[in-house]
Amino acid sequence: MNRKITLTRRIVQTAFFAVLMYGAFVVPKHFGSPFPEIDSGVPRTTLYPRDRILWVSGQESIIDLYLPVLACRFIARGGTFKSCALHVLSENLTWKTSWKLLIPHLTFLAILSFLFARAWCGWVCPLGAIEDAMSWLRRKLNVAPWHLSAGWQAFLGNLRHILLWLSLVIAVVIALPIFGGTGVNDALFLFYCQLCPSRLVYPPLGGVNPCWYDFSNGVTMFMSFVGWGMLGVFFLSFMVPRLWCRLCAVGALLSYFNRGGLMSLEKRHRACTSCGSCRRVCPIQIERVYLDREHRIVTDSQCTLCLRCVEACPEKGCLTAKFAGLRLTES
Amino acid sequence: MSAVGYFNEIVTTDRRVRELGEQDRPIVGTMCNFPPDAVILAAGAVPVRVDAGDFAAAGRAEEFIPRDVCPVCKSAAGLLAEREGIRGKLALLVIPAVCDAKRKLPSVVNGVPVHVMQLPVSKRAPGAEHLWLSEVERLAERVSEITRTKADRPSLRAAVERVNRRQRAFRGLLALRRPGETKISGMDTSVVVAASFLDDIDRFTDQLERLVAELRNAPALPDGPRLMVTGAPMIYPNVRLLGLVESMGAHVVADSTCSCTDRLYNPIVPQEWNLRELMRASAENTLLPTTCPCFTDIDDRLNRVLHFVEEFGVQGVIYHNLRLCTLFQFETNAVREALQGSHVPVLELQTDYSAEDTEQIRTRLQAFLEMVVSRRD
Repeated sequence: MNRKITLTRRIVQTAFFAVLMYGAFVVPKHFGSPFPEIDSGVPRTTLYPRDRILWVSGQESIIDLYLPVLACRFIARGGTFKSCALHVLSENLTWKTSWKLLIPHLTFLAILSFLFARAWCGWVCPLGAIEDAMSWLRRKLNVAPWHLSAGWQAFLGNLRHILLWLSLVIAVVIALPIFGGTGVNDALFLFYCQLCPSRLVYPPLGGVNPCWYDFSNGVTMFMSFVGWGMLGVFFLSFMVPRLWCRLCAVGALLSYFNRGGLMSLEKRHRACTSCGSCRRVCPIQIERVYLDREHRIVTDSQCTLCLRCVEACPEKGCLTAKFAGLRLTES
Repeated sequence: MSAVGYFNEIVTTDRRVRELGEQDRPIVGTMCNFPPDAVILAAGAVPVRVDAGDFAAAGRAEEFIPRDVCPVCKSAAGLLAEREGIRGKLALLVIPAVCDAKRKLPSVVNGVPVHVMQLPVSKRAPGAEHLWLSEVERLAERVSEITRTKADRPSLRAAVERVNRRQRAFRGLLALRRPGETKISGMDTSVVVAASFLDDIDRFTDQLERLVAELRNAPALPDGPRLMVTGAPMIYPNVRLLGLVESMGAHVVADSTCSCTDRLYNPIVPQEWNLRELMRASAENTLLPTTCPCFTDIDDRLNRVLHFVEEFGVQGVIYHNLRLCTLFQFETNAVREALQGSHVPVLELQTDYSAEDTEQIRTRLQAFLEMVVSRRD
């Protein structure tokens, strides 16, 4: 089997991993943002005195822009980019930042998402790269992967949307005056960040300790446990390839661009022999590419566009990856 | 013709039978393409496909097998009963229960241990792959009991790579049947595939690679109507239909039959190189892309025919039916209808292993070829 695509992807992933995780080590400079700075006018420390999870980096990123991948704010020394799409959304919903200040950032994110959709997950995301590294290690140890049942697959596929919308709703709700001074608002600030494994995985990779737990009240205790649980799920990616990606809410946000964005996975049904290779090699166990027998575009919402299926397909011209209608690669 | 000399020798002489007698690895006879060669090789045995195209043996089998059974099974049963040649050396006979005849074949085959593999009725039914995977694993165990060698990760990986090298070489041969560079006749292709039933897999691949390299530099065949054959298998030596067609100046440039292209067409694509995934890929390789009419699904088969018609510039399709094989007969009209859209005519020929109807077929073929030519011009 020709492994050119995967090889290219490994190089791209490694490069992005280095840039996103360690960029700030090499270029310890703060360039700021091309857009007006997001500022609600209220000093953040007065609003949320115990913003526990913010203190980790404390430093500014090189470029104050947000990416639609887990280019997290918890990366040591502030990282190269400011944070992920879900972070900027939930943070500013809570701060009630003026939309005028947000729109340039959100437009930028929307354009990036529209351009590459979940190829961000498969090719750029550092957390995805770590998951792939874990799978690689497992393969080297000759351990067979676990396959999720269809029920689990569907459950995770739904759960990620619930997580996404729940974290946005929570971001709005905790800013309501009724929660002022209860401590709940503080404890649920950046709800998604608190359960995202990046918060715990990234800092140690830069030699920094994250906030491992916060047992100051019932809610923070609960969130600490949920965070650990999610970290456990993330490490299960060792056995189940890209398990975290299957329930990542940032991925869910990006997946809205998987159909209708510029990236597409197309299938020529005439050339398909139904050999099932695409289904077998898919790290996320996507069945659509194999099962679909009528639509030209077969991009699944769970698909990270790693293009393993294109690489594995033995039929010439059966699967094609396209960008804006232009052929990138084909089987 | 000299190009396929080696393959002819394997098919027509007892060279391979002698070789197999001189080596000491157990020989496992298989029927159809369902039992994965890779798994049998990995378990340390030599797979040999024992489906037969011998007319006389089919007649002799009628003593112990119902007369209304298709000639493929009758012929195979007849030869197995006589236990001559390769069939006298089998340590195990693997029969996938594809159709009524093959399901009951184990009850009339004596003197050789038989292993029956169960197939799902539909390839798409939930759990079909799981059933088949467990059947393939059971086969691996059964063969291991005989060889006392386990199919483990290194051996299965090596076997998968050997099978894939063979399939890759065969795709190279198929490329030489495309329009503009048609360099091998349908008859020669079928001889090559027939040799793969018996031959040592690595030597076969070496020879096939050599043949492809030789043919690349050879002149293209003279122009003629381009036909495709699909339907029931034409198992060597029952390939007179191909001979007839090509003696009339037409070329069989493509086929979708389990006795020819379909046998060597699909490479095994594992997700990973560990034992379980190798086993799964080997199992799915013989199940999912197979267009056998024993499954309720027919769309893969129609798709394959349409694809080959397009890819090989086919101008007419011959649908080969074997008398008494209702499964293939059922699908005749679906293939005809599917091809109506691309205006490719279909000729249905129903024969069996006897040569009595040769003249009648010749007449029908002549008329069909005239129509194809007139449509083409």
